[in-house]
Amino acid sequence: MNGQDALKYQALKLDDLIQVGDQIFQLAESEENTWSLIASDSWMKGQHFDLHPGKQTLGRSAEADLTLPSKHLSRLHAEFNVENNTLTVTDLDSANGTFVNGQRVSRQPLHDGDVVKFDQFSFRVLGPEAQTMKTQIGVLHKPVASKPTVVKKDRPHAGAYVIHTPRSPKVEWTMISGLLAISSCIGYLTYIALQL
Amino acid sequence: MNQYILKHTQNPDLQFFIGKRSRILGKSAECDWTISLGNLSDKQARFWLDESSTGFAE
Repeated sequence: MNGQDALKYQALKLDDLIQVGDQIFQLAESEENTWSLIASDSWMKGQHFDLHPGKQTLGRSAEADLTLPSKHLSRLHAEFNVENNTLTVTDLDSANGTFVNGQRVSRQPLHDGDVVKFDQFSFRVLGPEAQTMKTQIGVLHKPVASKPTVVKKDRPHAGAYVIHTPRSPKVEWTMISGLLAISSCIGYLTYIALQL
Repeated sequence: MNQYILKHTQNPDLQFFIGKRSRILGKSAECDWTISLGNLSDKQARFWLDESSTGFAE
């Protein structure tokens, strides 16, 4: 790892280079939008779980990717599969079942906004489209015409600044149009005066 | 929770998502991540996500 022999067990950090055989990999953070589950009740309410491409299991066993400590859950209760940007939940023959929007299912594609429930644990599904939309809304709040400049106040408190937004191009264009119209009128009146 | 990936330095499209459940990388079809590049062992290394860090055993 990073050019040195790795120990039997080695913790990794972001950007570490790992040579496996003669192939070199780098540890990075995923930049992809993906599917998520948001716990909507129980003591986990509000907790956010990202689902990455591939299969992930949920159950009470520590072997599950998502371990929930409940005796009403099976050891491996259900499996989530993210494939080709779609998310599917499969019940792994659990005793108490997997429910999507109140209906017991054995295998079900999930969509943004669906509610999937295992025993007392409910999760709202957040799709990649919703996460992209959330980002776009954030961008729309930014000024479009011109970037604001930051100027210091005349008598500022320590570290205090005001935001000064330059006059918008639309206002400037209106003023130029007005000046052109006045110039044209003056030119026309001068022409008539000369004719007389 | 952050999502970590193992990205091949020469072929960035080759990416593996590291999860809590350990995954084995190697050239054998039995591995979770099978790659036929280079001189890998059948089962070369194991990767998983810890609560605080990511580790592997070889």
